[in-house]
Amino acid sequence: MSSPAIVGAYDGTADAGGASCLELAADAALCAIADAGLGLDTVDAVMAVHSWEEPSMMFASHLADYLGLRPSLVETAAFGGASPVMMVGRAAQALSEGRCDVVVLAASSNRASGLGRDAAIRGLRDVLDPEFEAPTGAFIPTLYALAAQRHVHDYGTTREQLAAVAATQRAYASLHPSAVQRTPLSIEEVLAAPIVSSPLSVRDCCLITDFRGALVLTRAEHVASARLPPVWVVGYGEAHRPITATAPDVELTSRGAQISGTQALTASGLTIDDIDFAELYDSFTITVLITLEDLGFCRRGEAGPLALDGAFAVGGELPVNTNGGMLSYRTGGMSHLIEAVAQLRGSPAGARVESPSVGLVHGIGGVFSTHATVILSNEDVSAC
Amino acid sequence: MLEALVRNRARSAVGEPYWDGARLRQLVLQRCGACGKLQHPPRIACGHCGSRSVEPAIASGRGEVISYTVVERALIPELRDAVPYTLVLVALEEDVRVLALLTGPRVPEVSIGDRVEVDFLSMGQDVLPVFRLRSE
Repeated sequence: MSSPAIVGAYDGTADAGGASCLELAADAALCAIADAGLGLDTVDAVMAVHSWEEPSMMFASHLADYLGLRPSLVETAAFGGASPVMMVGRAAQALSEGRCDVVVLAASSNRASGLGRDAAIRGLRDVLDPEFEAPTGAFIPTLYALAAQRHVHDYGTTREQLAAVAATQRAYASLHPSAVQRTPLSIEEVLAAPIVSSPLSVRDCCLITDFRGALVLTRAEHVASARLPPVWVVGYGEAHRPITATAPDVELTSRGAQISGTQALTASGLTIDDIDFAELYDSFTITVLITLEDLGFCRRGEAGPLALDGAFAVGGELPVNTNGGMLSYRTGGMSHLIEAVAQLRGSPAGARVESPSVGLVHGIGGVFSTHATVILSNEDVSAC
Repeated sequence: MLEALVRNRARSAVGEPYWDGARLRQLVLQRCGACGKLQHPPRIACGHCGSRSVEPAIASGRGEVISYTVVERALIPELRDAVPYTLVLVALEEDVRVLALLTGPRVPEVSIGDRVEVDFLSMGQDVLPVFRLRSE
């Protein structure tokens, strides 16, 4: 059986310009449908990431209605930062089951311009247990810092190695015309930045930006009607791990990408060595290192030294977060998918991966809580 | 001020024994009457076996630091006077984990593997369970 495919992609600027989350999602969806070269009337499924910034009981339903659609399938995703990749998994499944023909999925936020930084940080604290974790003065960076500190203890990972992740991604962002942070950033500058929650400095933390992005997926039978060659969804997996920081069965330095990654690779029939580049959820620098190790790109404790050696940089063995990621491009997680599509189409706006055929995208929600891995290819490997 | 965070916390019926216990300088967690395991945070049912027969239980309050972080930057304005503060993730002797402030004369030096014991910090009308390094 052939795979579902991504045939349209759009990444909007990181400035909402006063628009609501719904307007941003509608704009992104229309642009992605135009990118696909399909008519709006062909869309029969709508998915969207829940907008906690402007709470909406039925966000994707409102989006479908706003676009004037009467779809056969609607889904609002509320999996935190894993939502974009999880929507791709759900869209691919719905297409494979024949429940719809063309899915548009969108993610949008006006958290920087609408809510503002302080309110956004407060809003993101919603992930914490409100009675037992929030009163301790814990924040999301604090909880990721607990994983980082344990990684330092267990594997000798250094602040310099963490900083190398931020510096490497900034180098990618400096090549991308629409990245939010384009000024080159050295390891020394990351180390000299104020500590937020040790061992993480301000530069180990992702940006708080607005964003809007969308993808269009369709079934193999319809890819020929799209404007551009398809990017096939050849494997998907997900894992749901604790949100509570105190869950007794959590190994602090190994979180869940192992489960979702293995599922995705098994589904694709590929191995980790077949992956040409990776776009990995990067809420913090430590998130990237642990995810690389969990996915099996290297052994435990090796990701830090590899980052420092430039393995994940432009021209490295495994390019990672080739638009600068959430640390430097913009936040949200949708951009990881859109960048992977751009690389596989051979038309990235910034750094170019050398003739890629397979890319891996990993999304994370909560504090390493929800995990989704998708494997994308410009060849339908599962049909071979 | 952390006091505001404690005062403005969510409140639940199953959580009340934890806060009541703290006023009596006891670390009160929750034990399952069916499987005997402790859990935290408290819930309406056991997170290990699903039994509804969960009861408050006084924990030893002794454990080991499995990770920590020093928060140096006030991420919300009301914490401007509170930084820096140290948070520890503690594995108690009863195989249950607690996230809490580490207290001491100043922000103490702490390492993973350090042994800690529960202490209690008065915050307005409430008492917050915290941990301190064990001196031995």
